Amino acid sequence: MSSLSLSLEQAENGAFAIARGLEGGDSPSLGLLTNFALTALSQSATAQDSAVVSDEWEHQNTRTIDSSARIFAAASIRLSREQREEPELLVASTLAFAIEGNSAAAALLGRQALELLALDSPLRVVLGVGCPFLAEAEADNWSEPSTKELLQSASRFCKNAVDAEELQQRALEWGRRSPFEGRGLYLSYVLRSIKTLDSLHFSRALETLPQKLRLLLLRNLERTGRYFALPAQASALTSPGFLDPSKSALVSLPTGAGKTVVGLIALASRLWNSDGLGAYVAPYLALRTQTMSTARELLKGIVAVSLSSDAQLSSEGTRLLVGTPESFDWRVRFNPETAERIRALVVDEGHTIGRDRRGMLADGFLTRMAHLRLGQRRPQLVLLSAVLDEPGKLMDWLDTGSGSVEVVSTWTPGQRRIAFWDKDGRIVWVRTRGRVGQQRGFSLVANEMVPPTHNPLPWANPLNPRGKRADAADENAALLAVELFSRRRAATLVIVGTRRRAKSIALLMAAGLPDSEINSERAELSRRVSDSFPGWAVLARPLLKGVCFHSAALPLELRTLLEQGIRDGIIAIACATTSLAEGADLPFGRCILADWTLPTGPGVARTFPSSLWRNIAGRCGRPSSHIEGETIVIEHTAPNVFRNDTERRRELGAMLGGFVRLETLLEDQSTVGTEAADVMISQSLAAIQENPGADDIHRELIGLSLSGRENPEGAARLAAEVERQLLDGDLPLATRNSPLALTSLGQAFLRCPVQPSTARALLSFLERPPEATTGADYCAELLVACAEVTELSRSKLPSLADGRRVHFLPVRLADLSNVAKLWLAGADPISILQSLLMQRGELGATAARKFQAWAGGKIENAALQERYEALLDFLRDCFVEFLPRALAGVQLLLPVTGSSTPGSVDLPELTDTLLGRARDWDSAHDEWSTAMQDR
Amino acid sequence: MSFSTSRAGGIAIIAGSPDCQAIIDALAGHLQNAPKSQLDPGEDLSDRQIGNVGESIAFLAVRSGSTPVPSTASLHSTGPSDPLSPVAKHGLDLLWLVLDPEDRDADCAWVQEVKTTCSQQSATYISSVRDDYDKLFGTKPSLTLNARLIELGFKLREMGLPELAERAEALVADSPVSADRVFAAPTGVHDRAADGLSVMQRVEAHLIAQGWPPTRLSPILIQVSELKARLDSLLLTP
Repeated sequence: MSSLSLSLEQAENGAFAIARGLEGGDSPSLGLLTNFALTALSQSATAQDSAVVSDEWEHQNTRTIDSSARIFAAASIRLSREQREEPELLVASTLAFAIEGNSAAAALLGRQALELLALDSPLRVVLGVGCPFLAEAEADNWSEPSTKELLQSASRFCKNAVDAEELQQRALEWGRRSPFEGRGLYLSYVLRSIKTLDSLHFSRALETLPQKLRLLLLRNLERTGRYFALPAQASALTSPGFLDPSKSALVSLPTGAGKTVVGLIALASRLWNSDGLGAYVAPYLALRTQTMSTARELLKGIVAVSLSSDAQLSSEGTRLLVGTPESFDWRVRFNPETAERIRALVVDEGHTIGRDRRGMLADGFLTRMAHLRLGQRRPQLVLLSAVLDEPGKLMDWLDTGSGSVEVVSTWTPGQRRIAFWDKDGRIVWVRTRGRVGQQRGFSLVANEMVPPTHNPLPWANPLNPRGKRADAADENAALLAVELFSRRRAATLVIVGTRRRAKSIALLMAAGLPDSEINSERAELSRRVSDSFPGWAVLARPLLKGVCFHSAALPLELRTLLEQGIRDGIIAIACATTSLAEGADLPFGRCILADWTLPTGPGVARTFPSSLWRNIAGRCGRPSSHIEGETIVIEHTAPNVFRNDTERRRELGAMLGGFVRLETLLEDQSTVGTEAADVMISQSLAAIQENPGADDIHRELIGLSLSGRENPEGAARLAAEVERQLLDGDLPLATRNSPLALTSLGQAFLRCPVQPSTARALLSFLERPPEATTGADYCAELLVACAEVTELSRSKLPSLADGRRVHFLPVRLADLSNVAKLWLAGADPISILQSLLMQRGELGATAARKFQAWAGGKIENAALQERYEALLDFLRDCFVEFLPRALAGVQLLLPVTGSSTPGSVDLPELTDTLLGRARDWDSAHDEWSTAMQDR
Repeated sequence: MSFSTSRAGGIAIIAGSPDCQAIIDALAGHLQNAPKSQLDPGEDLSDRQIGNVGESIAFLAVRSGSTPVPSTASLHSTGPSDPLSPVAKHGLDLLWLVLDPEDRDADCAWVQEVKTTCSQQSATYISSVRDDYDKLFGTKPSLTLNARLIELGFKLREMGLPELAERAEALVADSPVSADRVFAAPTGVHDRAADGLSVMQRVEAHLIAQGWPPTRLSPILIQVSELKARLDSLLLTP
């Protein structure tokens, strides 16, 4: 590359700045960049033919081709903005991406190029539909022998022989009748593309699999449009031992590099010729749903796939279960034989193991499955993770004795562009220095200005979310999103910390967009939401202009509808809480992070961990919809959290370029006695049952867990706490008469679908003489008795129980019984709200008319909306999530305690009614109950 | 000797020797040696054919040693081989390689883009030669100098000459400034009655402004009196 006067970095930065019309940076001319890219590409390709392969060389070479592709694409974007279409640049970009092996980006740009090319353009042949890479084989009549070879080689990439034959004929025919400028250039591209693609074709990547399994997988992959593995996938699938059914594996790939497919193929290889079960553990419900659908497509004819919460496995011949850690935990507790049949476990987002309560549960469950179960056949673990900076620790934990394989690839399908918006209204675009996986710094790429509405800026204060500053900060965030959208249209996701902000910013963004954004599709979606989702008319107005807000507060069906709107391009800007930050695969091109600190207590907040930041940044620029994603962080959030600007900038830098390491709940001393203990007591109960001959299985469980290995001191304290709560006190859960054995209370706790500390609260509740005479009263009493339990700690119930009024919540403590009565009778939330307001005398004639109009979607009313949303939260926390579980727990504990219930209350029927309502609310809530029923 | 050379500033002015007809006679000899396409009787010369003929004249001038382009350079374009072809040829008009037998670092390339006009009133058409040079470092990948050199390398490999291919590819560059082993010889072929010199001076100024250093820029004007009439008499007379 010595003859080039630009460095790769300068060239990429220049292309980025030119394409976006930014200020500053080294901005060479488009021609200079094009030449740079072309030369770099050809030199790299020549070098690759003759070079001695080394890691450093490979890295440099990949970057060179990658940069070339992006420079061509950027130049093309810029010219098209100036109404100067250059399809040839798009073709060049397409082929460069193909050379790199980025088939997703190549296909995306190839489609765009086809739209621009004239029907008789020779380049259409280059991009031939159905076989983008026959390309080039473009069959010019210039060098016959190599053309023939190329065509033969390329024809293997066509969907079928007929396609290949047809394209071959077209290409040859064209080649005979017209000359083609630049044929040598394209022919040289083609050689590289075909070589790369040959090595990436799934038939190559799966060569080591048994023949029949390989053919079935290839058929399914092709049916879903997957002909070529992405380079990161290929490096995983071809790693020695990765497809060996006897080995565990860690696959560490960046977001969007195709981990799910790799994980499913790993499962297929481990289940083939075995009668066992496979388990795919997804940490979030959204990911579970996505994985389920991919698994059904990919493993069709190989294994039957079901949700882990679905009943009656044996009758359906299910061989692969997909679920969350909780659902697997419940299934194994109620059906211990399931555990014996599991041969392989794939765990998605493996770096979250042990991180929080849910991660701790996964940690305990996986340790039980893979490290304990003494004397039994233990399953292999395959952990899929985003790029970790210290994968060795996970590897140590993974090795269960039969060896393990580590696959790390830093190849990403799309470029991530990062910027922060500073208090002077400057968007400072930066790039990371150094390779992914190493400690990084930042260098300036370019600046652009978006002057804020409020200057000097008052910014959001997460510690006082309802303050005046919050309004100004919302306006600034909305301004930034709208302004950037008008400059460079790209579907935009604005991430905020609270639902209130999400709604507020969405409404402001809609107000800031011109009426020209309204079109028939948006009007139709808006009307559909008003008609079908009473109480959510507030979404109708922003939807008209293609804007929405999204949070867990929205009904599941509405969320699904909005997500489909984003996929279809009807919704262009979404403002969401982290509900869309985790695992959602939606076609966003830009992400704006309006909050990047989380309140952790009164007057205290902490910066997002780097892993969360990477996850959020991974939401935009997904392969197949974009070749780049840009993420802009609003710098001056949280004024009270940082002492000064220097500290703020330092924290921001740490978040953007920080080290992603394994974090476990045990690092926080305060959780050892509470959250961590709760989870590990529950896991220990299961471990005692599963390992009947063991003496200190709870200590072994904690010691062998990932969290325990990472933090031996915390683990020792945790083990002591768990032992105390298991064995001591008047009501021990286990007895230590060598071996450890569960008491009858322990047996009940084992199956109780609440935390052990909550089960103890239920015990206290059962000790009191029953007063309730109806099911509704019983529910109200139970809620009040359990107001302080872990499951309800984030709800508003503790405040109500303390006698405090909760802002906007229309429920008082005295209303609980009435709300329960309405809920059990099947009333919808709007009717419950109406009843509560009437009871309070707040619905006079005028107000009642307003209420009807609001409920019918005719008008917006901020006060009613706030009350409605607060009520929805309350109902979900108390009546959907908690009460069905608590009542199931009560039924399990009653026989042990010998307590009684009021004769007039039919507990099983009450539980069934509540479960029915919970399922109507959100079908995902039934995981534990179906596991119990399956038993 | 069919060509004579004089200079006007940095521009080489080529004329026929002893007279303009000498150039046409040299062209006639060239056509006899490599005739491929023929004109149909009664058909007029098209602009495209006039352009191709101009390239052949420029080729002959180089081979005669009358121009700044080394006469021993090897030609790597097909333009002059079939001057009467009705098809515009792809690629550079004349791409010359000078490969040093002793020192690979002394290898260089000459890019000679040629514009030809028979007008006796104006030679302005020649100024469009600057567009051809701009494209060498422009945004259309297949028209850039690098694409041409890469393509040449590819062709040389096909011919079983990988070493030459490598030497050709070593000349790639991303701008006129960094193309330190590439020389530009913009060439105009025109009727002596028109003022080609001032047009070529403007071309020269434009290319210098684009980054071509004067030391690597050698504009050439080939002047023939009664150019159209002489070509007609050569080519159209049965």
